[in-house]
Amino acid sequence: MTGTEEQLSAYIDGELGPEERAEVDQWLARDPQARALVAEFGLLRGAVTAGFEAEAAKVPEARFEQIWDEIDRALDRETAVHPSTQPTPSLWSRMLSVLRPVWVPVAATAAVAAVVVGIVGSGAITRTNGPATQPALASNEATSTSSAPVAPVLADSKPSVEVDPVVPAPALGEAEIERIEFGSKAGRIGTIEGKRGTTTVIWISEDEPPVGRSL
Amino acid sequence: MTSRNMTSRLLASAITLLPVLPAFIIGGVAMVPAEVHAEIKAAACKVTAFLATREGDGTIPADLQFLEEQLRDDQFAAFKGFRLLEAKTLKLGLGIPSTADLQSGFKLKLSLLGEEDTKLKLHANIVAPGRDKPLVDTAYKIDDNGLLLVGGVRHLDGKVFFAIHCRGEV
Repeated sequence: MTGTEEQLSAYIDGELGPEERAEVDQWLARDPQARALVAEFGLLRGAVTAGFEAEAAKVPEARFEQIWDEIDRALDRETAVHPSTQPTPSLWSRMLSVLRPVWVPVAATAAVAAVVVGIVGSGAITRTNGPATQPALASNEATSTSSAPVAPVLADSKPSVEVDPVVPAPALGEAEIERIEFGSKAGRIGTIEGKRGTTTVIWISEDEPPVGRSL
Repeated sequence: MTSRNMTSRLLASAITLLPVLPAFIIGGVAMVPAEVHAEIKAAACKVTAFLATREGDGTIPADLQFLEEQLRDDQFAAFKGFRLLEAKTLKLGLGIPSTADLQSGFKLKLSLLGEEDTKLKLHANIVAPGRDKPLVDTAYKIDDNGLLLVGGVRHLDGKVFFAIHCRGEV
């Protein structure tokens, strides 16, 4: 394509200034070949435009949105590569953006901690022998302090057992005997060394004095 | 170092510590005792009376299993049979004695004298059936829920023992 053809093409596309456009008008008035060329360019342009419009009509609306999204992403990437000339964000903005990945787990953990503090503080967790168990103990006390008739226990009689969830299995640890009197009997204090600890045993002797620390 | 660099470093330190802050909170809560040591004002006690006999196959019944370690000791080697007679619970107030009148006729009086060095101070008094004078009268200190065995007095076809353990209450 010659320079003249480029000028005609620009003329068809309306890209020329007033002076250039006037020159082209004069040229077309005197040159039939140029007019034919312009007509040809015009037909070609119309065909191309119509073709694009027809293709566009076939594209669904959703595809256009996809295309726009892709354009947005491309622009974002472009912005990231070429830092904008806008002022630097504030310190707090940067801190928030840095914290964004961690603030959710931090907030969740803090919420759990707050719940734990609330539960502990409210006394929902208490010792098993706390006030909540006192009614059961009171009933046991009434039973144990009642003056039931005393009768010798037969060898085959069924033992009386009060189920008591309040007093757990005993711990082992040596007792410190501060004072002891055996009445009319003799006795001694012994210890049993076990795997779990030491148990103090006070032996009341009615017959022969046992070997050990007699008192 | 410029003030901006200093600010950035402080900020970085604070951000680094933020994720572990909840752990510090939880740890602090866990380390603080739920109850600041409070004075023991009562105790829940359990008295288990059992018979030890020279006849038996050495089996320790299920309801005396918590005493297995003691009953297997050489000091109980003379006994081959063990049988639960009775188990009772007592609620002790500070300085207020409580008595267990056992079906065997024995009377066990327990008192909570107080607390010393995280141990319970208790007083125990055991009276045999038909007697006024106690078989034994003792004051002792023991760990919270610690076990004391007292016994060896003839009863029925064996000798009776009492397992006593108390748990303090505030």
